[in-house]
Amino acid sequence: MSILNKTTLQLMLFVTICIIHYQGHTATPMQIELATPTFVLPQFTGPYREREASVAPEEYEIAERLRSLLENNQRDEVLKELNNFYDIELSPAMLTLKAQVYFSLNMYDEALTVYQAVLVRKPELVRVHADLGQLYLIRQDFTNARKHFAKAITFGSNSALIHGQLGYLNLMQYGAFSAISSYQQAMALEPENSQWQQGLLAALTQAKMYPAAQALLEEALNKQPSDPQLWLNKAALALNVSDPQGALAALEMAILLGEDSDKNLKTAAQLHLQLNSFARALQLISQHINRTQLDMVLLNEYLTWLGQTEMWTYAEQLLDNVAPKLSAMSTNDQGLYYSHRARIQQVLQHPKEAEKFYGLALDKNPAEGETLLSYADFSVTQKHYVRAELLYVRAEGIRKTEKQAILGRAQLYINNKDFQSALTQLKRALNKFPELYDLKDKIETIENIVRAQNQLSS
Amino acid sequence: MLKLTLILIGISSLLSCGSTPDTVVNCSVQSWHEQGKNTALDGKSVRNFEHYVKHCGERLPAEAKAEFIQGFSVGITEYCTYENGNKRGLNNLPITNNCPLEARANFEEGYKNGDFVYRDNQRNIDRMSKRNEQETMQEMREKPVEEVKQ
Repeated sequence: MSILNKTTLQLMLFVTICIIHYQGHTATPMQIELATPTFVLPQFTGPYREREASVAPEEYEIAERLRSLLENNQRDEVLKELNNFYDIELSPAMLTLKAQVYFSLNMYDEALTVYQAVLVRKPELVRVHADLGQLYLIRQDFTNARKHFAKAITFGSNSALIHGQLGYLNLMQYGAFSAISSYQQAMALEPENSQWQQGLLAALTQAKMYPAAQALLEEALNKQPSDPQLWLNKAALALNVSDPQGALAALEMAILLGEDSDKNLKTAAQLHLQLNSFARALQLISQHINRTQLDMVLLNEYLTWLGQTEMWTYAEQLLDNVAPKLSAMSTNDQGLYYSHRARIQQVLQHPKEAEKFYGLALDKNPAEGETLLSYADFSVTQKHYVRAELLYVRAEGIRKTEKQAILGRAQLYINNKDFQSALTQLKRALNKFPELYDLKDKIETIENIVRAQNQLSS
Repeated sequence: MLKLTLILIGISSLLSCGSTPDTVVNCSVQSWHEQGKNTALDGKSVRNFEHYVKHCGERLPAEAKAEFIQGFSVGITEYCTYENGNKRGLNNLPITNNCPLEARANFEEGYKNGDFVYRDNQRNIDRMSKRNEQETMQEMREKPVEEVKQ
């Protein structure tokens, strides 16, 4: 029987990066996605061993019979035999066997009840604590699982599995420091087990014990140089100690060995941008974008990074690469695509091209607030004030861009010395968004100007 | 006639011993937990519950068995002590096999010691009664001589 319970623990290591706005978009933190320290294979761990408790003399005969039934995998028969007795008539050893048979038949509730009955009679039975830990782990009751693994160790268990599982649960429930010792014990007993190694590495990293983690990792990499997960761990460690070059080298190694998770490809591209290796960054980005169905959020993110580094030509190149997928995109996404193109043309001082793409973008998605705002701002720079005003008005109708649009129109009026209209806009803004309290000073100033203008005209 | 009646009563009570508990079966037990506990404290087997199953049938509440066993488990732990084993041994009662394995050692030790004391007492009593017998015999042997002398 094999019950595989994959419990997921994500170890994400973040580096601080500045969040820079690129025309309304926000960059996300750099992350390396590591394999989780999963190692627990909770399962029925074999028949009862005598060293923990003995069967009663009157049970020898039935024990022999049950042994042969178990050898023939007739577990139902074993249960039938054992159910001929009241539990209190069975020795703790036989009762444990009954619980284990329930466990092996996936009858978890029954197994739990019987295990607990054994512990009432023999509270220090190591094997029962170990089994109960496994059972609780399967049922995802991690608190009780941890409690029983701890007891199993307290009462003398020296199994690597129990130490490793305790380490894992401590890592989840109490943090890295409480897990390190258990993982070390497990590794001492089974030095070749990669699960303990991975767990210890995760615990050391989380506890910020980087030199120890580094040493462990180097040792592991010497043994298994083609394991991409180890290279990813190395990259994550390097990021933790602010070594982007080391991180990138390790990450590239992992990618070379087949690593292709979205997050890690993104981080690699981001690191390349940070380290000015733009060609490789673009190659990774294109590779990533082309790999799957186009994800506009991902594209936005990449364009944001390229914008941050002012790599407009690369951004344009990226959009060219994506162009063949355009017809497969939704109309809204097509709108966003053209909007990006327009912004790039705007930055590259190609106003006619920019205007064309803004037009296309709004044709595809007339209610895209960010595009309306960008187009309006662009129109102001091109002195197309009437169009800019109209675009601001449209953007005001969209909740997400309402505030910026009201303020943008106010600014437009101020630039054109239409102070009365600007005043109306600013008052509207303050009324609708009271958090803009610093507008009061500006309103006061403009009121003074309007008053002065009125006095002059009268 | 009287002899025959007594023999018949004796036989029928011996036959009924195997099929009913020592007490009369009461199906409207107030607390099955207490009932189980008392059964254990009396040194009886958990299988006494079978009598209730047999005699009460559907009148037996659904929770009776679990509560009885729970009570029995509590009671048997209280019962299986050195003192109770010792008492049984001292009173020359047969050792019961109802104690769970983990609580059996103390009970059996107590029983063994009690049984030893019982047997030792018995030996002393035997010895004393034998001596008394011998003395009486001696007295009887000496008595006729005196009577003759008189």
